[in-house]
Amino acid sequence: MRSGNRGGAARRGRMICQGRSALPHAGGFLLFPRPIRSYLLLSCCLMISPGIGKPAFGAGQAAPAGDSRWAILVSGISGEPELQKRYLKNLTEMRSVLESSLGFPPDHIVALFDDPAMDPSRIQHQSTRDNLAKVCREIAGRAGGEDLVFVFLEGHGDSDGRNYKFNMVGPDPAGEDLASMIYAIPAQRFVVFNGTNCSGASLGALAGKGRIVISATKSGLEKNLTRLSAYFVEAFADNNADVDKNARISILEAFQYAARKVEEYYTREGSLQTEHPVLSDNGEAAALTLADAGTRTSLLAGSVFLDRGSPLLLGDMSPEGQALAREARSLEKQVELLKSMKDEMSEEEYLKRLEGLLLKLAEVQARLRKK
Amino acid sequence: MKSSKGQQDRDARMGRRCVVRVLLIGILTWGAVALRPAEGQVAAESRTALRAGDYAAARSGFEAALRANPDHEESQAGLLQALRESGAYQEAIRRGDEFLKRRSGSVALNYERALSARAVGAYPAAEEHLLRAVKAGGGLRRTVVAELADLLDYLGREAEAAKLWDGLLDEYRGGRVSGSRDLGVIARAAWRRDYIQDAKDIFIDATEEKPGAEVPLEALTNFGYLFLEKYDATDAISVFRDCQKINKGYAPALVGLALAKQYEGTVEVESLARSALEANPNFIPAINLLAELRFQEERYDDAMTLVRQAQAINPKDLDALSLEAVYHQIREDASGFAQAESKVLAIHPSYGRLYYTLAESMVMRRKYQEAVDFNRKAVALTPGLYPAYASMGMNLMRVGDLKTGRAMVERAFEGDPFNVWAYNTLDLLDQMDSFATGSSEHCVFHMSREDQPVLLPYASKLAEEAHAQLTARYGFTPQGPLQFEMFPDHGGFAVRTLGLPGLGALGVCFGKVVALDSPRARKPGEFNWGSTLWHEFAHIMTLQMTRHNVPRWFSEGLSVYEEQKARAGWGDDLTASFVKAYKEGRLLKVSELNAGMMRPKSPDQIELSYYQAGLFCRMIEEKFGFEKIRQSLELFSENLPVEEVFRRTLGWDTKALDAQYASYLDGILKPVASRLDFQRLALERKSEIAPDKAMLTSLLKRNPDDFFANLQLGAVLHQEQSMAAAEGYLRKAADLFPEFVEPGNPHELLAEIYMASGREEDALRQYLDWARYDESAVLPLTSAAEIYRKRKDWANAARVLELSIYIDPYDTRVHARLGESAMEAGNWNAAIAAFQVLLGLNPPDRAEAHYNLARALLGAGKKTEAKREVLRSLEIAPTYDKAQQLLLKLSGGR
Repeated sequence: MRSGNRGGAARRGRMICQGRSALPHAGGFLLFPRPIRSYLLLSCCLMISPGIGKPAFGAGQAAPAGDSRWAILVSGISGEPELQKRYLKNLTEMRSVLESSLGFPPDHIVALFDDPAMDPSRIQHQSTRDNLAKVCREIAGRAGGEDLVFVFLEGHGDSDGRNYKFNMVGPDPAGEDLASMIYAIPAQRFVVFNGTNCSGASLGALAGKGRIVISATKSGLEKNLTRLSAYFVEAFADNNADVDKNARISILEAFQYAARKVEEYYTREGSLQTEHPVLSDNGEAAALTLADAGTRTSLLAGSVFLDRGSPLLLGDMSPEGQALAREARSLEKQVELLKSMKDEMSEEEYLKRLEGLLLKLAEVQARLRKK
Repeated sequence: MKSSKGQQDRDARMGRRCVVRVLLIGILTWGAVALRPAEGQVAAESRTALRAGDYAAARSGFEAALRANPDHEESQAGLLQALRESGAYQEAIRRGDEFLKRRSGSVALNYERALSARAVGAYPAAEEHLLRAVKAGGGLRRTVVAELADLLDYLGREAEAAKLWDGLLDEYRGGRVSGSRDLGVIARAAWRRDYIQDAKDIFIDATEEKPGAEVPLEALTNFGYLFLEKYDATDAISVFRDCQKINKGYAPALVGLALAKQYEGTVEVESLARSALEANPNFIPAINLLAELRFQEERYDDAMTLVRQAQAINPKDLDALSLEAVYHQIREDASGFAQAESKVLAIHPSYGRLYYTLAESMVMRRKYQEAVDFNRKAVALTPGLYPAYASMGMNLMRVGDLKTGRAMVERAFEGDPFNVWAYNTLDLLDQMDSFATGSSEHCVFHMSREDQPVLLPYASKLAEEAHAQLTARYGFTPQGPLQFEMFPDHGGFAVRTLGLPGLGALGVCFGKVVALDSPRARKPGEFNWGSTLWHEFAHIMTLQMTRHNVPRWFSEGLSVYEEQKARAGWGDDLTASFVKAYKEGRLLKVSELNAGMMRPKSPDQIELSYYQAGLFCRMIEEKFGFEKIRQSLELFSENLPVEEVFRRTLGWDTKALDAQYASYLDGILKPVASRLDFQRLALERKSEIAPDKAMLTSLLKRNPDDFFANLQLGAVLHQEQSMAAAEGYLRKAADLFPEFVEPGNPHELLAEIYMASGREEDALRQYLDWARYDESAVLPLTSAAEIYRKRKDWANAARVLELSIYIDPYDTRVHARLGESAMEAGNWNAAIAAFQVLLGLNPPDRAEAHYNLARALLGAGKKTEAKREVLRSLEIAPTYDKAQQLLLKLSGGR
């Protein structure tokens, strides 16, 4: 769901990045030798282009200095003790996953909860609108244009069908308020997860270019308690979410995993499904359901990850390794291209050509693994 | 001319005498009027009593009025009506003839005389009196015409009847009809001429309450029967209840109510029919209904006794004669059948309903092909008998001819769009058009496309296993192809079975065709589709072996018994509620088991009867060996009565059979019954106070073998985390009643305790014990599988995982683990099947599923297929390292 009124500044994604990398900053625009310039160009494209950027080895490494990822985890007012326990669990587990397997620097994660005393080591602030605004301003002062901001909203939402409010301690910010707070941060990429009921009504305010927004419900009318959050957290801890076996969990994979789990839950319970998770990708007109997302091959969410990223970008590989990695990526692109042409040839021809490419890729990656 | 003085005196005296006479006459007349009872008023009071169904008061009132005025026509007619409605037909006829001697042209008297004549089968006399009444005209004319038309219809003179009905409708169209009674007649005419909506509207008009006017009871009753004919039991019941507000004991309304209640399958049907007979002991429709109920219970001789009772009143009642034909057909008495058939056709030469009745009785006895054959005859005689088309269609579908069956059902629906069976069945057939079909050596499967990749492999494997085992055991090969239809929603299954939703069963067998719920139709853990399929396959055997003559209860008993043999844990087991029923004396004798299934007296009686029937079969096997079961089936194929079959095979008559069975039940149940104190449990529940530890400990001191006390105390200690103490009581409870597998059962709690303390072997034992008695519990099976997998006991892991698939086949993790376990055990084919099913479920990790399938195929030596699968895996995840390595290996390690 999108509304015409976005509120807040909409930042356009930039096609060419200007350098938040491991390379030292030398002031101004440095003229690097051609190979390095093209490396920079390539690495930035890899960060943005969907479906590319799959390293030979996985994430989970320690964050080097200047990590460009930020996380704001907010659980609003809980309402009752059992729910409070559930929300605390989701929040703290999300935090643990971000710190451990995804390698976020602890000081890049801020958590807000209605009762911080329940876990003062992992929760910094009470979840009020003012505190959230303050946190966003602080991060805005530290984040850079190439950064990624992950926002995790848990708890209760409210909607009259069109307008959304996030229930916090004290005044409740509307969807537009959330957008203006979050998007005041000068980052390149935003991943907003809204696991509250009625969250579908927040899409209009939160969706936009360069933004991936997941909401637990498809509209503001789905008012029952939701289950998506726990499954979303689980996605980053469960190998089953890594559908393309690249040892990384993209936002798309996490969404598909969690949404499927929600469906399975209601089927198992024999209950009517009262929440239908959707994903808003890069400001597209309509948010995607699980079924829709499965048919799309080039979504931004498929190439955005919460982990540190490709070792290629980290510059951890030898030149030979990098060449092999480039060759691997080129072969992967060819596989994707062949897949897109599948309907234009017989199955036999397709499989023959696919086999040829995949064999080459297997050989290249076997060599790469040895490096 | 001048008169003389003497003459003048005489004249004066005469004049005075005249005046006195006039005065006297006047006084006497006035006196007579003042002193004689107002027979009009008495008649009115008697009419009120008659309308309310107080026939005794009505009779005595009318008799009193007639004593005062023997020629009072209203009282005469009222008396005849009272006699007739209370079943005194012969007396009504005699008195009617008396009254008609002096009033041969009376409309009311001729009408009543006709109705009584019809009630006893004197149809020519009935017609004659009706014609006289028509000729006489008067206010009752339309009522009489309608009755005449109805009689002519009954006798098969439809063309003549149609003229009369149309005549009435013309009068209505001409605006010449008013008044509730006559409107009720017009509604009836519209109904008979198939103007159903008009009939309904006019009935509404006729039966609307108007100030100063009575709602005509006959019209109201006919309105109810219209709803009944059009399958609207709800409205029918409502209208019949309105009839009861006027006349509580009005027999036609009571029977109508009973027929409407048949849709609900309640015991009320019998009681309502009997209530009708209380008011009118000779009311033939009620007697016929009771006979039908006896037929349904397979108490054929009792049914025939009732038919004879009806025929003693009216030897020409078409329904009674049809039921007589049913009896002779069941007893395979060709001559008796032919006689009954001739009698019917002599009265009504085109009475297709005879064959429709026979067809329906065949359906009750599960003889579906015979039902089809009779229905063909029915519609050949009566082309407008649409229920026969519907029945034919549904039964053609039951014997596997879906195409012709569909055509017949469509015909039925075209002719009668109110036929809810036809409507539902056609809807279902539209759904089934999108079903997928698969087959195995002896079986054909129809199921939804979503189910096919998941269920077909397991269903076909299980069905072939059942075929192999049961044909060997019973020494009989069923005629095929055997067709299995698995419905993804329960409503579809119910309609396939009955034509109506709302059926409580899981599966049904029609001889060659089996319909059952797909596991998709219900919540996981609600039932075991594998044991259901096996149960229905056993029915295929027993129905076909006995040419569908096997009594229902015995077939169900054998199916339950065979389930238990198929897999440990399958089939019904002893439950606490069964033991409770035993203690309360609610278990049935063998001779009552059919009624227990067909006319359950309590909500749980069907379930109890099934288990009882299974125990009966177990008893025969234990005491005499399985061969006696086989022999019994062979004798049933000869259509011998139950009593004769068991007398020949077991040497027991009914009394001995019931006694032996009761003794057998005592042997099994007495020991366990003594350990289950339901009374104490009921008191606790009533008081809503859970017993505390002290109370339970004290109870157990008095009776250490109290199962519930052991379980309760164990559960309380478990809750408090006093595991060591809890274990003792829970183990005792499990020993006392191991079959208890309701939530919170001892096996479940003990397994939790053992797992928490790392005692996996003990936990495994509990899981297996639990699964042994609960065929629908997934948790003990998957938990046992995990323990086996940890121990690398792959064969057992695969075994229990496969068992869990017969409960919930849609869990992708189970198929993945089954595949892995099978691979580890070197059972490549099982692994291939598991991974293929997994892919059919569209798992989240398809790349891994294709990869594992490739591995299994390679293990089975199918290199080409293996390569195909690994390419599919890499197509999804091109950088999947394990799949890449496998591809390199398959390509010669390039």
